[in-house]
Amino acid sequence: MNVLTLLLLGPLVSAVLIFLIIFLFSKVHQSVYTFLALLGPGVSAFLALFVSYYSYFEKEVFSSHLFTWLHIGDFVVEAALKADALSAFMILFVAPVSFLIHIYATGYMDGQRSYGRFFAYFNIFVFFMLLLVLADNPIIMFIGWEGVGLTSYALIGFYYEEIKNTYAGNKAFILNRIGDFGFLSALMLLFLEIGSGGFDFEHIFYNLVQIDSGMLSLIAFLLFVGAMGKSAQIPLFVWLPDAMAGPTPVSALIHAATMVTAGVYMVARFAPLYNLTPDISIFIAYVGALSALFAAVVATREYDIKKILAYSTMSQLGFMFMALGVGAYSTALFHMFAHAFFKALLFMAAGAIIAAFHHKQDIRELRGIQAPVLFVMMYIATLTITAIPPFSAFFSKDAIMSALYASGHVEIFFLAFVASLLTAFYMFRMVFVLFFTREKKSAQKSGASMIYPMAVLTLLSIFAGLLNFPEIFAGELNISHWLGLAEQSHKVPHATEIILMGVNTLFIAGVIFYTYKKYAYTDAIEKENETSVIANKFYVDAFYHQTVVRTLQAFSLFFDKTISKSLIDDSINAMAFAYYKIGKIFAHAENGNVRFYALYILVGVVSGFIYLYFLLGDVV
Amino acid sequence: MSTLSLMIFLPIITAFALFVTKIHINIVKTLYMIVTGIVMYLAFSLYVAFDANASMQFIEYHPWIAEYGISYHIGVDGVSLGIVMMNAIIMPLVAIALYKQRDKRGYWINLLFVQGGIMGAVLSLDLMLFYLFWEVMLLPIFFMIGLFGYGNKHFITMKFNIYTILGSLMMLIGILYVAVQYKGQFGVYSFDLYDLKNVKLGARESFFAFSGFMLAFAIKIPIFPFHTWLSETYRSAPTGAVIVMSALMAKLGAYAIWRFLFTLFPETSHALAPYFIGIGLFGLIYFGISAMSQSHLKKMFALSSASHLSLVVVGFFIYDVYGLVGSSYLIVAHAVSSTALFLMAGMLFERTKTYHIDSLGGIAAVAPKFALFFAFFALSIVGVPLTAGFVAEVLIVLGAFEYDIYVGFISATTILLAMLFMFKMISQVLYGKVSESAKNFQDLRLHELIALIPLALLILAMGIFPNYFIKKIEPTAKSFAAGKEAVYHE
Repeated sequence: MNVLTLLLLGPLVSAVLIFLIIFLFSKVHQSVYTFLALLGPGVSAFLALFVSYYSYFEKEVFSSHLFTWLHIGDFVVEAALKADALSAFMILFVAPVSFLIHIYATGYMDGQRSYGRFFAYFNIFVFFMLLLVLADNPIIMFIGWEGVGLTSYALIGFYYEEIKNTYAGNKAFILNRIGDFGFLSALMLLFLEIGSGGFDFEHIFYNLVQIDSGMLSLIAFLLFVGAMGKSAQIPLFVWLPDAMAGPTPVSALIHAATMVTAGVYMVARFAPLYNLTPDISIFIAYVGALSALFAAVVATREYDIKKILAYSTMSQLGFMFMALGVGAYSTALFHMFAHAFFKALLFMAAGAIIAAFHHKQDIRELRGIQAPVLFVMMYIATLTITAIPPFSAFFSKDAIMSALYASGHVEIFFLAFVASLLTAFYMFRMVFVLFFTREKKSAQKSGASMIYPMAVLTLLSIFAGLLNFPEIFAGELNISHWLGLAEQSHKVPHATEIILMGVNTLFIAGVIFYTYKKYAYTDAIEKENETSVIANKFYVDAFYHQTVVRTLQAFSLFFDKTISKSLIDDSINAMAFAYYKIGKIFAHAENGNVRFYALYILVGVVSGFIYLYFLLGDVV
Repeated sequence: MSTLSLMIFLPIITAFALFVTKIHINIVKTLYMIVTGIVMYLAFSLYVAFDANASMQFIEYHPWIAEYGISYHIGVDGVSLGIVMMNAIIMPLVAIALYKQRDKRGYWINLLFVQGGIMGAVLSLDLMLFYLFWEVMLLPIFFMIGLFGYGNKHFITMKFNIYTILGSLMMLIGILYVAVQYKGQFGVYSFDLYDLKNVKLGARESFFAFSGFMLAFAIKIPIFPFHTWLSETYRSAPTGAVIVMSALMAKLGAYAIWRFLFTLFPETSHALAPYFIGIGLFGLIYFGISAMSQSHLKKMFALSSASHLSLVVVGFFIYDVYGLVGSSYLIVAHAVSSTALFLMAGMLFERTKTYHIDSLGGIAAVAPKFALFFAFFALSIVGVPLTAGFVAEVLIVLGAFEYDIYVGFISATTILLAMLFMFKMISQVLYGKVSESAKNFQDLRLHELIALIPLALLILAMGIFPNYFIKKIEPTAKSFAAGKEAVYHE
């Protein structure tokens, strides 16, 4: 069997088996589910490492043709997989991180009522995610794209006893699909322009030059609308904080490490297209910059530990889009790679804290938790996300900053700089509030199945930077060379880069010190104002509710009650009743009285004669 | 007797025989199962034997009233094959799901009757024959609502019937007019579709004849603004009748536009296409948004069906292979999904005695299997990937974009509209705190599972391996598009 096929189908088979077991047997030991749940992602993770290894060292391209999905006229869609360098790079972190979070989840979900159902969904998610990154043509990619949204919906609303959770899932899927509306429209236009020359990525990129620039910009823009929805960028981001209603492993895997990064992957995948549309690329960079800044600002007044991390994810995705926008594709991808590790780790640590603390999520209530292992891991992850050397994100974020600087868009660079300072502020605010307190509370210890995956991710957070070691440190940018994307290279002199790095790090250190003074061992957090504009997330949610949701509901009532019922149906009924009333009038005539009938006969005969008179009168 | 004729007349004759003899209800049910089972077997063998490289086939022709050129002329092509298959598959499954609830002979006799009627209408290639079956399939529904319905059923079934018959009469006038014109031009009477398409009509005459037909189809589908009978009728109709109406009869209306109007009045259809695309797109959005404020489950599903059928109409009127294949596919996909959803709504009512979304809730906690299937079928209406609806919608949207970029954008909203009400409904019915009505909710029974599982598998198979199914439609679409000079994208 083909490697890629096996890699893709592993999680699906697991999911189907789990579903069958749930369906057919009422009582099954939990270990059966655990075994199946880990089997699929485990196989995938192993094969992904294998594929990436050969892709990296041997420059091998794996491919697999499953079947012809659709063939009507020119519209040929093959269900085919292909692991070129970019896809191999994606599965290199998607599959192993999925596997690690699955292990973590076996501990986190231990003993919960819907243990099997959870892993069935979780495995299906991995399947769709792999389909998304391995697909060889955009239609199959779109199926994976929608599929991850669907499983995300199911998992956000996993604790369905609380109906609010399912509403959060609905919101996520609806906003995602607004993005998908753009994605689908873009694909349709792309097909109509150049689809007859083959609709796999290779042929699409080869034929791109045939499209005129206006249409190309429209397609590029619509594709990015899809990315906005999936990667929670302004204006379609409002679902991501609500998505934290799902179990924490879901937040770690779907809403931090993998699914939300799909937008970044998609833009990078369509790099040849975006290179031809510089206007849209800069637009992407602006959206990314604003999202990064907005999310970072909101995170400074957030108290729910998971929502802080959610806004942080949105902010980091904004950084990636900035890099994509200026054409530094591999830099964006590398940051995504590092982000997958440290953000998953942050979420898993948060989950462990939440689980140890009776499922409370407010950092003011969680203050003073005593969990040394979790503290160390969370601290390392926080240092990583704030881009402190020598952790991985230092290299990736620094590369983004210097690419932004080199691109000449100083305003974007400035926004990114402010956002990165705010990142240090809100992340350390969270850490200092949680752990740096006088009074301590003891907590339950986390299980081994939760700790070990986190330990692996901690190591990866620290060392993943080595893979793309920058040139100034005598590195070779291995990942950038491996990916070989059509980058627009913005090079800065080494001296400038070092100054940028130094200034950046210095400022960040300053912010951390300020945050320490403000939050560690003080009660500053208690005094914060919860009614400010920032604490209300700039009223974006409320605005959407008032404008979009309310308008739709008003229209719905107007259509149903006023137009359909009062206007159309009542007039149809009125016609029928008018007919009935006319019938009533005639019924009066037919009343059984002979003298009336005699009258009718008389009238009939007379009018007959009159008619004949006029008819014959002409003749005579 | 050929396969097609057997599929038409076996149910009708059986229904007659059951009607005149007074036998026990259990024998009626058994006979129903046997007959629909045979029809299903015949349909499957038809599907296998159906040549994927040809359009119209299995043609059967017998002169009937030769004096007026009325003949028994039937045949099946890629587009009608879908409806034939649905008619054959859905009927036995409905019985399996409902056989415990319904103990009135009339219920099953009417269903048998309507199966034959629909089969005849789909397969007819003679306009008189078509008109006959078109009316025949109406009567059982009239009786089913009147006898076994809910609420203000007598008024509603009367209104539905008068409204539908008004449309049919206009169509009859249209048919007679065209036949008379044929007589005038060719010297003999004929009601055969392939003869009548040679009639030359002036633009005005053609428009009026077209309108007569269109009124009948527009009411049946229904398209805006002929939809006001719909939600009340669906609400009071018993489950079996609702399924027949939404899954089969409504589709037949859309199919008839393609089969008869596009053949008989090609120029007029083409000239009026932009208006009907407009009405279709308007209906897609109008019904979708209307459904948002429904609190009655069946009324919501009714408007949801109407929304999708408007999209089917759009797909036909854009005159292109993608649109046609997509619409034909959506007819089948939606038939399966809506059958399953209405069946489950019926099961829900049987257990909770309510259709009101507000008084339901928390079913997932007490009946996980029910919840799983219900959510699955609701999502398949929304057209999530790996379900048949997804494929169909992608194709229609593709055709729409090819027709015009703005039409494309508006039709692409189909991936948003159904979600607006479906997701909230799923949350309110299945999730949240266990409601009073759902406390003793019994999970799916074996016979219900037997009815639902094939439908679910069919939806998945059509979503994952669409090419296998679409191969059968494609030659029809191609020959049609070639005739219409609507070519593939250069």
